[in-house]
Amino acid sequence: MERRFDMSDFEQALKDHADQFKMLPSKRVWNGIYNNLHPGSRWPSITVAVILMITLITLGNLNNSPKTFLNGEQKVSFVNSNEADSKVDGTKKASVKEFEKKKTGQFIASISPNNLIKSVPVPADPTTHGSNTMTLLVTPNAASVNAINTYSLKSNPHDIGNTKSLPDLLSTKRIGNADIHFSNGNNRKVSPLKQQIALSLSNETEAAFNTAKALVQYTPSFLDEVMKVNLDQYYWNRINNNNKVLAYSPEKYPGLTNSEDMDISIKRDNITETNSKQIPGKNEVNVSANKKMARIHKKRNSKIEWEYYVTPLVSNATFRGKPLYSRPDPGMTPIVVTSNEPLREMVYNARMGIETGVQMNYKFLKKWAFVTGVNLSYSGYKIMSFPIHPTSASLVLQDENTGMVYSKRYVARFGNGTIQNNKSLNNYSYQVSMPLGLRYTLWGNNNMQVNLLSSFAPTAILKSNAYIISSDTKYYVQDPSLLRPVNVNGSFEPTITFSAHKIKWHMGPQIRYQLLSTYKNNYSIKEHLINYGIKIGISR
Amino acid sequence: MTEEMMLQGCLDNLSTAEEALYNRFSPRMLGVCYRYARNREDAEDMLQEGFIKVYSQIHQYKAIGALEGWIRKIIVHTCINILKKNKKFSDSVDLVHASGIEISDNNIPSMMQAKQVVECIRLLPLGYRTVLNLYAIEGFSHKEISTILEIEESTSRSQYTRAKSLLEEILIKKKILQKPRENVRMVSIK
Repeated sequence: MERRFDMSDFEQALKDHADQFKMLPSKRVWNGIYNNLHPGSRWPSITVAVILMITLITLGNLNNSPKTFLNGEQKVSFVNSNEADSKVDGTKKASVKEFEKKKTGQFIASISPNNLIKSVPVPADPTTHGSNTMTLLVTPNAASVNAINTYSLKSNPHDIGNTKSLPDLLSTKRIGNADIHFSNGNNRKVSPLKQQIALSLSNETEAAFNTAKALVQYTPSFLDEVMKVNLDQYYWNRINNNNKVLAYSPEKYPGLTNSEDMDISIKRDNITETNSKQIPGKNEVNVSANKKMARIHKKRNSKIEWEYYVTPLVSNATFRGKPLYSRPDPGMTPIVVTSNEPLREMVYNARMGIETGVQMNYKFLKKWAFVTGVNLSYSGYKIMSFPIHPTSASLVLQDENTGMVYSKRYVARFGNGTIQNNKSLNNYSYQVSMPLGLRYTLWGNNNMQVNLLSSFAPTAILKSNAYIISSDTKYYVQDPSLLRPVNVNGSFEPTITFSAHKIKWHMGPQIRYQLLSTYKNNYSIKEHLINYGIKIGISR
Repeated sequence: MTEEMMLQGCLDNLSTAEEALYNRFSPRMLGVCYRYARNREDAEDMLQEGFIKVYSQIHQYKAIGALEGWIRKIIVHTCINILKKNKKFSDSVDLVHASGIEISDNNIPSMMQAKQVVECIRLLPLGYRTVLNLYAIEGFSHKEISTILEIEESTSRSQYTRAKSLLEEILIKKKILQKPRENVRMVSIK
């Protein structure tokens, strides 16, 4: 159709056209509004806080548990690990049991004679105007059912009528059940938020009803499975994501008390399509234009995502191997044996470190991304030692190529062991590395994702300081020439990603293990650094 | 959900009602914001701020006029307030830009109907566009516009005249308006 107007109607024409124009806002707008209106419901913050707390407690435990080496076996102490496990198991069992209990309908409420009228606020149905069904189940026997004289469906402040005798209904239904159908929106203007079902009991049979229990099942037409709800009722709070209803979360109805907790899990419903069909046909072109814009927008937001992060970490080390020991030989050829003398154990402890860097995520499949970047880290561990007068100490080394064994002498200033006058020696390194890895999105939507990241990182040691235990395990000596200039790290990171105010937050624990020994192969003891950290990153 | 239910729910701070209100009015209101904003992101920021004001002031709604009109009024004022915080806007609304602005066919996006007209409006300089939006579409008088934008009434008039002339030129180039000028018509295919 062609519409005409003169320039004298310019304003009106302009207004008409402009008023027709609609755009669908992105979900972040509603998220921003919702967070502003209901600041208490920022559950991602709570989740992250809980994760941080658990991780910090775990790391704190690790940090305060000294380890030993060269004492026959490595001892790693965990505080009451068995007890903790049993507690976890106990909690799990209890929660499963609780869930089963609720699932089987044990939360049915009792109706007591001194509270003859029970009100059940009906959950709001914001989108549909069809017929909803409310089913009243009364147990355990027909006698108590007969105690219900009438029932009525009410809408505050006015009763919408529809009062009928329950026994009449029961004659056509199963004993104990009464289906109450009511119309929501088509015939009557009732506020679903205020609809109530009221049970009115006859005086004569109050005593008989004393033990009766009632359960109300409410099935809104927009849900695809029945919700069993308590008489002490809740209403449902829609959780939306981009106009798709994902779930309904129960909230206590204001003014009601003694409500029991309950779990309601509801499958995805068909409301998504209903919502999308709400757009009037005349605006289809606008919608397609919006989709086109969205596609353009998507293209601009390429598959590459830059993430900046910092990882506070607790660093420690693991050791393998035993020191070689040499004994002077009259023929000047050292005979290499493993010492039979008891070795002094090496006591060491974790220390704090930090890692920071930039990471590039290139998404090449829906759930897979290639990850690379650059990071700088500072990590190490503490050795328990004590100062001594300068003393001669030796390291027995083995040439990698020829297998020849030789000895190097050093001046040692620290002894191995713990006495009253002990001192912590810091073994540390500054490293720069370039991780190469893959990230898999385990679960997620536009708001939140759970990712698993695994990577290898060629690493250059920028600066390091290492106290090495002497071959007789009595002293600590320093020899930078024994340290590798490059290494390889492997890491594993489960990460939670969520969006807040245009920024994506990435958080999660990180485990990084140094795959090659800190020392070169001519030293017989192998040291591997291991870092436990909490990665906190942001991206656009 | 009816408007009464949504209003009552919003007054009771029920998120279901708040969301229903948002879902009903946000597409049209984003269209309003888009006419004032530089880009879609800015328009969404305006919409977000506007709706937060709507919810915080909803108890002041007297149910005399249409709810949509009341919401729209808040959204428009929010847009203007956000624009006024921008110094470039203050400069542009006081200056005359008409000379030197060249509209080539390439600048006009090829879209249809309402969006096409809105995109043409968005090609106008910010000052022109704002005055045109307020006068021709929102229905404010030049006196009201002068108060809202803190400019002279005569400036508002001249800005509007030039905006209208420039928009007409754009619409003709886009073949939405057809010559001769004595009988100019706007073509709309429905």
